Amino acid sequence: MLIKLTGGALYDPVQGLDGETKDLFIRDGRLTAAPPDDEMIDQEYDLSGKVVMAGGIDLHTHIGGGKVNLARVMLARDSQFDRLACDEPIDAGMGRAVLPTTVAGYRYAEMGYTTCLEPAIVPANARQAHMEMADTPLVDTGGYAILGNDDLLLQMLSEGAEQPVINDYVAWMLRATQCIGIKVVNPGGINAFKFNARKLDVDEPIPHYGVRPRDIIRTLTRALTELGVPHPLHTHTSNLGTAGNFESTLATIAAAEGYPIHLTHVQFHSYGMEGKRRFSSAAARIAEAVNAADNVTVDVGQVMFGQTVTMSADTMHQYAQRAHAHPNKWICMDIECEAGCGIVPFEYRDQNFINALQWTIGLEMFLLVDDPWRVCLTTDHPNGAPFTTYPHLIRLLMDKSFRNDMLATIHPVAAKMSQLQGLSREYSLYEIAILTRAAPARLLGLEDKGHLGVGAVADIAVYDSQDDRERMFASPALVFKDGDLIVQDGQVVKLPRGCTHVVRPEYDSAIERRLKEWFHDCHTISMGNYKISDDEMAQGIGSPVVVHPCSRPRS
Amino acid sequence: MSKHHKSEQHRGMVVEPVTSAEFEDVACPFCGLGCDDLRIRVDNGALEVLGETCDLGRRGFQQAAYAHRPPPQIDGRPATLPETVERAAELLRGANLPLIAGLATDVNGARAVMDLAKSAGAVVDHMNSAGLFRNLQILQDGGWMTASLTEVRNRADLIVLAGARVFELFPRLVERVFHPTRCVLPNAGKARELVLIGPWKPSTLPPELADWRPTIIPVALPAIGEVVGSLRAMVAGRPLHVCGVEGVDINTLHNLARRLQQAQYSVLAWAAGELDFPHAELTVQSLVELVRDLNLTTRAAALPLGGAQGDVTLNQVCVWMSGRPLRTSFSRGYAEHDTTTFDYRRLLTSGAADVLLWLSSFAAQTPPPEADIPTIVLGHPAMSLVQAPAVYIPIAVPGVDHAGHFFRSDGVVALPLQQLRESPLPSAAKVLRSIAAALETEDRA
Repeated sequence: MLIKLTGGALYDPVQGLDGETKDLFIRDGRLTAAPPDDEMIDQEYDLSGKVVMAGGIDLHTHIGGGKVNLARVMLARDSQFDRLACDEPIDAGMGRAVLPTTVAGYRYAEMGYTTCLEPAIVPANARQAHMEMADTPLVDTGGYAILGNDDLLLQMLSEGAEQPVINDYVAWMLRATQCIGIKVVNPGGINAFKFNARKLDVDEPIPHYGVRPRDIIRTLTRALTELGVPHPLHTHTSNLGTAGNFESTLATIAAAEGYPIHLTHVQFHSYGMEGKRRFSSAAARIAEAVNAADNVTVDVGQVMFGQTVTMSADTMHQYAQRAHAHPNKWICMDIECEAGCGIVPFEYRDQNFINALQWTIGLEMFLLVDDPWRVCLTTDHPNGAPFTTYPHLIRLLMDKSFRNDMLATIHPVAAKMSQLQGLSREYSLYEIAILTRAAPARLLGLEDKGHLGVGAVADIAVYDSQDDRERMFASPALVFKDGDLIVQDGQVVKLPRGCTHVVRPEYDSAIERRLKEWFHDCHTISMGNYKISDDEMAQGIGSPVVVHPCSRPRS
Repeated sequence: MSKHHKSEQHRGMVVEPVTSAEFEDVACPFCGLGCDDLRIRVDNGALEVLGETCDLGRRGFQQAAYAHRPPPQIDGRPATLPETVERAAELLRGANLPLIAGLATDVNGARAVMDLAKSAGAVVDHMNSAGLFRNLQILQDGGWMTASLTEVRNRADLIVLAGARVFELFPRLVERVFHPTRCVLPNAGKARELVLIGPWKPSTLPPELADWRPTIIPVALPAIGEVVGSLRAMVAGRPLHVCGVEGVDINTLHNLARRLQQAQYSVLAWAAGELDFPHAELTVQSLVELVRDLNLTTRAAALPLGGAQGDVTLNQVCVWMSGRPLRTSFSRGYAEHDTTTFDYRRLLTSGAADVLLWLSSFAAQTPPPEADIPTIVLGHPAMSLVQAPAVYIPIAVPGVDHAGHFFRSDGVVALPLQQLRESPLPSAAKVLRSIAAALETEDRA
């Protein structure tokens, strides 16, 4: 089957294409070079005047696993989360913030996104996360396994384990959980909360173990670098959501000691303590540090106004936020000597000073980080806002007058305190293609995604060019997944299932001797059953794996 | 007409190939604990559990091993699988409100249940949902603070267990979670104390508990809520000089309240399935609120125990696929959840449901409830049926006859179930998908 996409304006930052008109050819699910003139084209789409990009990639969206399901249960009877009319499709539900798996797949594909990464997989819960993602149609998926609060790593660090041993453990865990990256959430803080610590700074010792968050950051960033894992340590830094936490964020950047590090939902970690209300933007300070350190990348975790639900492995800070639960209910769970989960429903209000300032801080971050290759577009779905707000967010970034109109509607003190009014930067389509496709693909090591070059997976979004960028990005004209047309004029027309992207660095299997003993002493599951096999991914779980290469390990 | 499947045993649907193998790390789906350290020898289709297990596990594997494998039946008469599938689809198609209940199956069975429920416009509910919803109602009202099994195993220094039959329902709970010989935070394990609130007598404690010398607060199950309420008052510093529950020594309670506040990590455990009395969810709520109160100054966690017959499994899958827990209806073309309205017992008693599909693959002892409506049974091959249902399809047992996944009590770990032998019986998922396909064919016709 040979498909031709004719005459579209291509936005492909990997190839440096900035709106050039060029034909694309698809064969067997991948982009291919122009065929000989005499070869018959099986199907042709006329894309004249249309904007063509690779399928969108969301590198941080909570779409599957235990915490999402707990949130769904807790909110199933709340009207804020159940406002859909009877004529909605049978799978619809839960408002916009927590979607059933099928609906999440639909909503992503309808925006031209074809790849989603679940950023917080508690290793013991990896099967559930992969099952939910397998049941999320239309998109490829992948996940980051959470380390850095597990009693095993902390014990190894407190005993002074050598770096190669840690590296073996990290690589083993990626393999066992079928993940593409490692995430650390409030390094050591979730564990410390189990010992009743209510806060933990970057240089504070963790109870019982004496290890500091700084040590965890250094060890894990180094491990991933030495293993050649493409995605840097996905880092939710210490003191989430706390006024003055920008200092922890700066300390965490320093703790990486030059190793690659990705700061996730950095908006929630860029707060100062200035002003009468002791809450201010430190976006400029963080952006300055990011601009100065080329080992650092970020995604923003933009806040949008409305009802949502926050969910995080960071039990320490989710517990601290419980008083703000709206509606008034919340969950906190300690999980398997590995991590935890905290769920607090929340409504961001534009007339609330703090919420309004959070909104400006996220936008400032987008506009102040110079290099678009080092910032990814996220709302930390659903923590800052549901992912369905991306088209609106894109318009805020591309359209300064629209942004300033919105700024005029929020809490006036917050608006006045923010430097947003003075930021004239407007993102171009080319830069949006970086933020939403090319940069996340590069950051994840998805070498055949995020671009439109020969050999790339034919995940393609085709938009009608419109001045209103929100409308444009909300409803692509056509979306292709692996070369199949899946969305036409905003409607899903085909329902393929995706696959799971993983990396698989090498490790010395001697690590299993130590692990087996640990499982025997500690766990309520055997080491053999903890590991997820490729067959199990393909058959029982229902999402076959695609392995991406690691770079040659540094010795 | 009474049809006991013994009469069919000579039909001998199949002869297994002669095989002999030993399986390690076998996960057991016969209670909610999900122990996965079993060793099982399979010899010519027969199973022998070697080493550690419990009576529930042994019985579950034996029952599956020695089931008679009756043929599928329509109105008590043997029929082919395609005929029974057609008949089931016909019944579902003709129904105004089909009810798909029982739901004792694995993850892929659950996925197929959901797809069939959507295309048939059915209500889904689990045989154990009365207990499940005692917990979920409280979760939905205010949330909770809990811990998973491994966390409790390694971290608890004080365990308070409310209930009477927890160790029968979860036979290896002490060995695997409450009092293991090894745990990774040794101080917690060594000093761990146990308190039992419920109708316990020192003389009837199982030996592994008696050695532990637990404190007993002897009350009937319905009085647990009041005891816990008193503890909450004490923890909150309110003066309390008498406890309203007969036989409870106020000093014992004061002592327990103090120990809960002093503990570094206390765990309050219960199995909602056995709290079978009116408004028992309020007992669950009092436990949940006590945990919340304790966390103001120290750490504590709730441990709600469940998961038997796949209730946690089914709920997990129902939630991610529909956005709602069990007791959800698809009859109006969208997912509609109501804890009361869509209770399967209520739908059967009221006559609202007009066709019942009963799915039970883990145990022979869970036949369909008596109902005056056409019933389709996808049942354990050893199931005894008092009345011949409209359709009976014997199905394979997950974790014995086919691989699968089973969520244990805490909902965190989905255990991989192994296939231990070849079976001629179809899995629940396969039968349900065939019925759904037959429904769609009819729809198109």
